Amino acid sequence: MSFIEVRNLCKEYRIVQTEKGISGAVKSLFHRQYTVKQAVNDVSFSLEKGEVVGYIGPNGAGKSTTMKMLSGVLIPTSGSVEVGGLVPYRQRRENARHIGVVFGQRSQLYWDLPISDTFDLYESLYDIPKEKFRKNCAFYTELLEMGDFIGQPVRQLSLGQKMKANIAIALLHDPDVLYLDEPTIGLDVTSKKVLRDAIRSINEEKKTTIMLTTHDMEDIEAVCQRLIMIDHGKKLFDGTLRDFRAKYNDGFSIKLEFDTVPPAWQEDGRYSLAEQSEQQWIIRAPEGVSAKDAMIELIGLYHPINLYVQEERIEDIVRSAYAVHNREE
Amino acid sequence: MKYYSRLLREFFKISVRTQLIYRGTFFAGVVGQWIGYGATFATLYILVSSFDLLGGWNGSEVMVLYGLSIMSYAIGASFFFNFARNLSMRIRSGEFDASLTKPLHPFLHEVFAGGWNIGYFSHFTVSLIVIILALTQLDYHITPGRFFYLVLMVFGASLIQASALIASSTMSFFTVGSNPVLDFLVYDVKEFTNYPITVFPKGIQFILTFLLPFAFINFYPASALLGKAIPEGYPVLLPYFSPVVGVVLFALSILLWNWGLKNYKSTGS
Repeated sequence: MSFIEVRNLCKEYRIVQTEKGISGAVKSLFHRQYTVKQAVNDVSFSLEKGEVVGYIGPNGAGKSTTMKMLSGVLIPTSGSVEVGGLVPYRQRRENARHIGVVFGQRSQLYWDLPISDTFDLYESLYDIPKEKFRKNCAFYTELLEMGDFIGQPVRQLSLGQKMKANIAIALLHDPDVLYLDEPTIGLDVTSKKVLRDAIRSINEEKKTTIMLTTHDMEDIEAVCQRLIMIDHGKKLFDGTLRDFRAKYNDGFSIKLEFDTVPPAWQEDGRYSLAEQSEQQWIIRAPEGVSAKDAMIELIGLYHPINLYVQEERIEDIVRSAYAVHNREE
Repeated sequence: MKYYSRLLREFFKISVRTQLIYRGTFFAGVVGQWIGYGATFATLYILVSSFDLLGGWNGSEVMVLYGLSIMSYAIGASFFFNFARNLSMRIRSGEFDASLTKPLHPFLHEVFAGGWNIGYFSHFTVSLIVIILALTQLDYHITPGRFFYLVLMVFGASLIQASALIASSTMSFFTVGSNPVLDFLVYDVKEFTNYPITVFPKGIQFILTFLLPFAFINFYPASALLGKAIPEGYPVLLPYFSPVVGVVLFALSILLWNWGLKNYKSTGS
């Protein structure tokens, strides 16, 4: 039995259908029509203790809904969830003692008070032993580089600083699992790096099992050993990052910049022009061509002043992956 | 138990710290409420005094009545007003989800997140002053026994006030947006408690005693305190039931809230 067991998990939402215009709104007051949306549809997976798993998928794929069922917020429509032998939505409070949750940008901090006050509150809330609390405060303040701003009122903090603080308070009680819903959204490059390094260290030092959702492939590459992808509520992939890339990523793109008007595009059936603006092209490279060969060839053909090789973004990979699955069905 | 007492201390500490940061806002609020409620008391007093007797109650007696209403509201609302007002907003924004991932009952965590509103300090002081002034005017001799009775009645009344806030907030689990039930219960129906219920028709007396028992907030406690008549045919001991009514209503309102919670389906994002 794995640490986290998810079996045939489903969650349905009923959505009110409203017709257009005022008459539609009035009609829906008296006569409601619902459509059922399968937010999560027959998802199964298991996680071992100490794993770091990236949970990805486009907006509305069902990521947050899954996370909410794992953390005990939502009750599944059908299927089962077990975390450390507990059923989260049934043994909600017992489960809460063993998990840490950071949901997107919803802050748990008191707006007008310094972070240290929220720390004290969580010491009482989770009944953390004094010694452990003192140690963890010092550990996370250092790890997340919060020393400079721990005494400042939260309203004066930047997005990145608030995110760090939210992650710290989710960890003060040494949870077995940490659920992070888009921890790096909207952060600058430096903050992202500190967060990724921190997530890795937490996993290594505290053996915390971590499940995170993200739209940033770099998050996944930096911290995750494993990747689970869902879309339209269905699990599409579960495996290592390397396997994922091998399976879905059929190439890369190259950006060319020109100092004057670009030369004429020569269609050869291999490269394709994905985007085109006045002094810039984005070209999709065909399968099987190495980046080196593609660069040499394109420089020879078009003489750009700058050339960048771009990996596929997660959204694109997910989209192409979903297209693959759609074709298969 | 130790856990909850420690948590309660932390609750007060955080609430007071949060609100005293803006000193100016705090003092302006207190003074504003003093003026506002002071004016209400004054007009009510002048009004009742010029009519001589209102349902058999004179001006000072009506002041005790109104004072009890404001005082119990101040106590109940200091704990539950923020909680009741914010709930629908917190559900809509998804902040409420956090209360479901804490090792504490979501109800308690929500009360916690709302904080203890020290702004009601002003209501409390105004009503205290008015009650003391009115009782002095009436040449009322406060004995330890009567004082204890008064404290117990205010406690019961505060629980009734709290129950109204909690019960009305339950609506937030079912509807999105503003909360008309809250406004209706807390502001409109409670207007009745400004006057002795003996001035109202029998039907309203019945409703305020047995259906929406707001009469237990101040009418029954004050009638026993001041030796006033209660509606004809009602049990003589009714005036002493406020604390019991308070505890029962409080328990029922929490049960209702928990039932609402079961129906809660989190926002989809």
